Amino acid sequence: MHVVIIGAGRVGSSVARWLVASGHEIAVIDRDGDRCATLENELGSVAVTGDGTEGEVLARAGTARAGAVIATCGSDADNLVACQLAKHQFNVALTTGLVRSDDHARLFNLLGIDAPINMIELVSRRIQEALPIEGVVRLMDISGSAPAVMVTVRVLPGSAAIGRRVKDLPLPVGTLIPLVIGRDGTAATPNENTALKPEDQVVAVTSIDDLDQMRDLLT
Amino acid sequence: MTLFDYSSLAPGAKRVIVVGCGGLGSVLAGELAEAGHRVRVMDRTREALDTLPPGFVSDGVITPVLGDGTSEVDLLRASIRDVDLFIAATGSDATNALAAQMAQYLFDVQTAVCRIDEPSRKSLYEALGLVAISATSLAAEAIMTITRSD
Repeated sequence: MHVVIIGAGRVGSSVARWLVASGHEIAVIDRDGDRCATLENELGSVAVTGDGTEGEVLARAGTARAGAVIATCGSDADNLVACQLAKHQFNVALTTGLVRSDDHARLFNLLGIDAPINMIELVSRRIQEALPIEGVVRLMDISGSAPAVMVTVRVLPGSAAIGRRVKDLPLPVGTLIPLVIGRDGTAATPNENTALKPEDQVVAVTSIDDLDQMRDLLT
Repeated sequence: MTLFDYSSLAPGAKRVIVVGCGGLGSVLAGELAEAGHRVRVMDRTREALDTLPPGFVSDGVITPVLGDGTSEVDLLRASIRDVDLFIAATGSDATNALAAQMAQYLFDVQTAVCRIDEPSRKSLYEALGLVAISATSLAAEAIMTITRSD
């Protein structure tokens, strides 16, 4: 797939390396000629010097045949314009861009940018994962008519769920438990006999509305 | 207390927010005030806001608002919920497009106008329902008109 990346900063360059290593064809647009030169030294002729929020520059980068456009500039405004041009003038199937402000994240979603990446939310979520204070950690949001989330719930010592079999838990309707990870890190799909132990990490897919119920049940 | 007293607003007068108090923004604010409209002008720097016509500012016809026209909090501070017209007139096309789309889609402002100078972006935003105005092409047209009339 041809992928156009706008911005040759740290995020843009890192994504570029990863895509090249995965065998994709890429073009990286940046206004700064020095950055473009540095990237070309490493990855070959992939850089386009210019403003990625201009149609002509996007055209030079082959956006018309791109399967995806990734906007990684430091400015939300630039990322929005680049994604909107890609989407509406070049009919790119997948547009994704970095967003640094919550206000703008809401707008990006509303305007149909396919996968806006809210950096503040992302970092804050990583911090939540790193700090085992809260029993429930959101791993992934699953959008759809009934929004769901994938979470891990830590079975805290003293929880009423300890010793109970997963299949006997009164789970909210539609909840799946595909994986239980033990304190020693062994991961297993729960079977008929899997019983919960303290410090187990229970991976669950459940409705957003049922998160509190899951927390009460397991922690 | 609201930011503005609208009781004295003449019939047909509009409540307008102008984002960006550079050359275009400050002149525009003066013209709108002259025509009887109430204008709030947002800019991130105090120095830019100081260029507004002092008479209109002291009369409360133009209200300077120190803030970022792409920040929800600052837009709310400028009472964006009760304006009829929103004009994004900073020097950056991208900032203008972002601000105008926030006004239109997050705050349901009736008419959002943005200054967009680069042609590919201008046609995009017109297609997306914004009123996009290019200062450079307007200037060029004006000059061409003068050339023709000579």
